[in-house]
Amino acid sequence: MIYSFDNFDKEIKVKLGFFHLSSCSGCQIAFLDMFEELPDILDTVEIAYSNMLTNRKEIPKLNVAFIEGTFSIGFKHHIKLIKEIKEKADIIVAIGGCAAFGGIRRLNVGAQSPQPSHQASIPITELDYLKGKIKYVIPGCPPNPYFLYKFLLALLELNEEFLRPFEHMVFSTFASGYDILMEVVNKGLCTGCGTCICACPTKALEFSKRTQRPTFNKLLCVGCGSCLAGCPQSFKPYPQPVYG
Amino acid sequence: MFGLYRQFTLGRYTKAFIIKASGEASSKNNLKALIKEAFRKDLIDGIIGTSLNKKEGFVSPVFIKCEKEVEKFEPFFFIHGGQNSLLKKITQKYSFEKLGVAGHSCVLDGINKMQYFGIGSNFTVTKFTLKIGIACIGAISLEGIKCLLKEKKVKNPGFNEIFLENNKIILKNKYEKFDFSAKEYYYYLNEGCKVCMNLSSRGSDITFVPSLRNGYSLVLVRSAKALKLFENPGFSVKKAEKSDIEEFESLAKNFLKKNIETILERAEFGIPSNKWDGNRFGRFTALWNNIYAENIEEEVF
Ligand code: SF4
Ligand code: SF4
Ligand code: SF4
Repeated sequence: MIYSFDNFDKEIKVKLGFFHLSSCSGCQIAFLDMFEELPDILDTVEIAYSNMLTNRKEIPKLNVAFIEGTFSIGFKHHIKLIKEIKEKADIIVAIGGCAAFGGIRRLNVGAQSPQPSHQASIPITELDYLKGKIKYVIPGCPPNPYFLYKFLLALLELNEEFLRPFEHMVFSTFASGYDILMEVVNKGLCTGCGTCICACPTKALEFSKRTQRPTFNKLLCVGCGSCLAGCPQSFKPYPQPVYG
Repeated sequence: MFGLYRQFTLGRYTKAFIIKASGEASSKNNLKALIKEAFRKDLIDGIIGTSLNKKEGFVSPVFIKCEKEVEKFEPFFFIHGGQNSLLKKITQKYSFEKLGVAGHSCVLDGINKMQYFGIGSNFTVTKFTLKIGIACIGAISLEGIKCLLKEKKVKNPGFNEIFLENNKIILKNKYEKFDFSAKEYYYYLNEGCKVCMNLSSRGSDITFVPSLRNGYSLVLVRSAKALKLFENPGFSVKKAEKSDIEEFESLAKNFLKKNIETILERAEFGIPSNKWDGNRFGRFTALWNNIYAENIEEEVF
């Protein structure tokens, strides 16, 4: 087993918290957009804390804390929040490109409105302080709601096969379309299936009819990590359908 | 010694047929007949695939929305077209409930992976009702084909068909046929295809083999749904003979052996090969080096 949740209340519901650092909140909105499956999940989980969904001021004891956005260095509110989450949550999941790999916030040069106090940002996976506490990262900008649903199910069922790739991704603090070029195309593994192009939210990857490979436009990349995660040549611990 | 058994080379299937469309005998027309039948039987209401644009000379992904549109479809089996790149666009633009896909195992893999994890756009909740796997000996690039033809001193080929016949790879234009041996073809194969271990699209509902023998192409039926295609079909269908199956099996084996050599060569240089996670690769090399085992393929691959 990878981890254990303690602190269950009488109803044995897994307590989730959503935390917002420096980001657009798109990941929390994606969570709310989990199609009709959301009510099913709410039978087993309780959203115990969220800046958007609950009125709570105090952070309660949590089983899983989902954190979106980057950590702004020197920003007192973030420092306090991260300390408190570390203390109160059993595990942390970095949700979305910003929290996981820096995402679009890698382009942040600080001193900008509306929050000029956020001058320098890093993904939470870069914080030594949270080493061991962050168990998984979820790529995407924002992650697809269906992905979040499947991830939550896997977390509740402790489906290690499903979770393993996202456990490994905790150690990547940067992602971009270059991953597709470096890890797949350069290594002679690309088959030209086009899946990475479909996974990319910004059209930074396009399919070249001439070479039958993806081409990468770095100017459009927001560093969300979806392309490499989606590519069938990157990791494959998923079941293959067998008929007959 | 190492055995490549049929269950691994071809995958599990319940029935094997040979099919022939009416009209001009060609492998691409046989696939088109199969797709038309799927529309007619209401198994699909749209299908993605890749098609040769003869004017431009490119292979592009296409979304076919009805039986009528199948006419314009020009499957060019061994050049990839990135059909999965269409999924987001078509999900946003069109409404369909029974989507089909015609593609090689790696294309189906991309779909399987995205649907299993849910990575990507909203298409991941789309139901794929029919997966037509294209049996494959490895894809080649457009430039690769041009070089192959240059070696045969063909100047302006204007090719429009590619298929398998008598253990050879055939390129055809309006007037002529050019054949290539596995060795000639392998030289220009995509590197990614040189490590592929699923040439028969084992995870499909039905595998279409782009072969041609007396105008017939081989199909391997794997799911009950796909069997419906053969109930009073609009094409000619016969039970496949042993020799029909063995012909493709021997060609696939030939390519698989070459691919195993490539994988081992990569391993020696410390270059990863996609389809293997560490565990499986460990077991594979242990088997390769030590023992001759029966029926290990499900275990290992
Ligand atoms: S990953 Fe994208 S959606 Fe999520 S917080 Fe960052 S910018 Fe917003
Ligand atoms: S190329 Fe696209 S999918 Fe890949 S990291 Fe950049 S934005 Fe994300
Ligand atoms: S998803 Fe497909 S096209 Fe993209 S890099 Fe991977 S194999 Fe190549």
